[in-house]
Amino acid sequence: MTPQALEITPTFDREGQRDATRSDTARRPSYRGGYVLPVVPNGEGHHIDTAPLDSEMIPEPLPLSQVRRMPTARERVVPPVLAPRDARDAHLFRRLQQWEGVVLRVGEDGSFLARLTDQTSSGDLEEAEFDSDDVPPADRDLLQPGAVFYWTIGYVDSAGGQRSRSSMLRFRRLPVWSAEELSAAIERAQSTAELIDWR
Amino acid sequence: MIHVGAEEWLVVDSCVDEHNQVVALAYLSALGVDTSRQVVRVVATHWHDDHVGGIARVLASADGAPFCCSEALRPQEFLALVEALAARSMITRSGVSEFAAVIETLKRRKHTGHRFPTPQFALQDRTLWHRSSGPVELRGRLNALSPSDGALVLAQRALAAEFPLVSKPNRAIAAPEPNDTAVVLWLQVGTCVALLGADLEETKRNNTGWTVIVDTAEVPGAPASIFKVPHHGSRNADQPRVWDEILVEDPFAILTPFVQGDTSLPTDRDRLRICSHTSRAWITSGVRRDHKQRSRPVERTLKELGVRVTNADPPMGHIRLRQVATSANHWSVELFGAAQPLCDAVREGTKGKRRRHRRRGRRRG
Repeated sequence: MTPQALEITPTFDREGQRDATRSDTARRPSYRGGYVLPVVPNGEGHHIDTAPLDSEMIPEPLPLSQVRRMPTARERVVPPVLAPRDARDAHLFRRLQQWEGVVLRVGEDGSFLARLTDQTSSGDLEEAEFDSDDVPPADRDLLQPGAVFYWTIGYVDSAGGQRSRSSMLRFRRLPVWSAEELSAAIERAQSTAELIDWR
Repeated sequence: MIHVGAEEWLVVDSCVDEHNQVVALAYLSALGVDTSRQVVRVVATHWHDDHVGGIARVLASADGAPFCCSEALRPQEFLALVEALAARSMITRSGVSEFAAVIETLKRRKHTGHRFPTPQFALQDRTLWHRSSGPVELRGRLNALSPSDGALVLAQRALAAEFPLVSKPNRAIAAPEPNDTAVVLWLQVGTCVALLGADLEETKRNNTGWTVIVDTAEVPGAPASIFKVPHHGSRNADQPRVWDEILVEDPFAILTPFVQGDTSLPTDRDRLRICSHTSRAWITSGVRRDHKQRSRPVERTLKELGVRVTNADPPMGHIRLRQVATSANHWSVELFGAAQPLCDAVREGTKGKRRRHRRRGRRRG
């Protein structure tokens, strides 16, 4: 079904006065943050604005020609896709320390040794050994000597107010080499060789 | 760093300290050396990360010095490799990135009409520097003893294998082993002779490694009294004939440690072996590495994860040898920072058990 704009029954009478005897609450969309076209024709072709439901937007009045029909009993209103406020703010990550790592070797026992560059402060070179179980399953096929990854330690603050410490390993998925890229490198090398007689 | 007399210096390889300052430049500056005039050669014995840290800055500062590197790096495959990896700027501190910066310096030199935009390539028995005039005690030469022709072929094949392939993922380059590109240097000034072993390993092949050097290389003024022990004193870089045939008895031996994961060089056996050849050996640092203390939540997380993060390198140390008289074998030894004698710990642990290696004879160059 193609989603169509919803019209709501106005709560105002022809003279623009609010008709308290008519309650449209039951016909209003029950979702939060939804957007509706607030245009309803009256008999003379004038339109009456209505306040949008739970929205800060004040839409402009639309001409009669753009008035859409009311949904029928067999149709459903499809609200705009908006993440609920809680889900959007579910987790906040506060980084305490980050390294860029290069895998030096992978052991038969599943451990791997990496050279680390401190990206948080000094740029110092360090080294550490990790367990391959610490690598996300989706990144396991990237685990080989020369692979580059980021290792981040920080706090995770949940929407519920809980704080926990977290460690994340994330491998870089670099674009593969293209023929154009490698050809360009070879051309630059030839040009360099001629310039400084490196041949 | 080597003072070759007449206020001229050679810089062979380079490293940076924990603040990313180039150690050679800091040292020469402290001595009041004008690197733009007084450094006459900058040599990269190979392109491993631990040997060329900051060498581009040394070359930029040493305006009067040509750049020397292995003949094995002459082919365009190496230049193309550097261009390809530098364009992606993956890892900022690596041997490849240093060479990319060296190449940029050489290009700038060409554009500005500098005297030395072209590198000198080191090959067995090729002279990289010489002084043939002036007082006899100041005449000298710097010769390359490697790579050999056989090593060239192997090194070039290894480099070609490192070049990226289309549709393959990008990854940081791993240094191939054994290191067939390494440049071993023979330096003679007056009657003083030094053998600088770089990272050359002994191989089972008869056309590469130390056996080729002992059998065929020209070693004027042999034997040498100073020996930079190759490849961090490891067993696979040892060739007893080097000690017997082209070094004096009981030479001054210096070496640097290597630590990576659970690999530490030199091992205790390596120390025993080196100390069986000479009682005068020093190492720039121990093999213990420090751990940088961080904030409490980070430290607690590391502890919970069971991950120990250590500094990549042991603490910095320097060994300085200065000739005290016009004699080949009289040197003062000064130790700075974490530098320490190599054989003291061995003597303590093996009192009465050490036996000297039997010398088979000395080769004259």
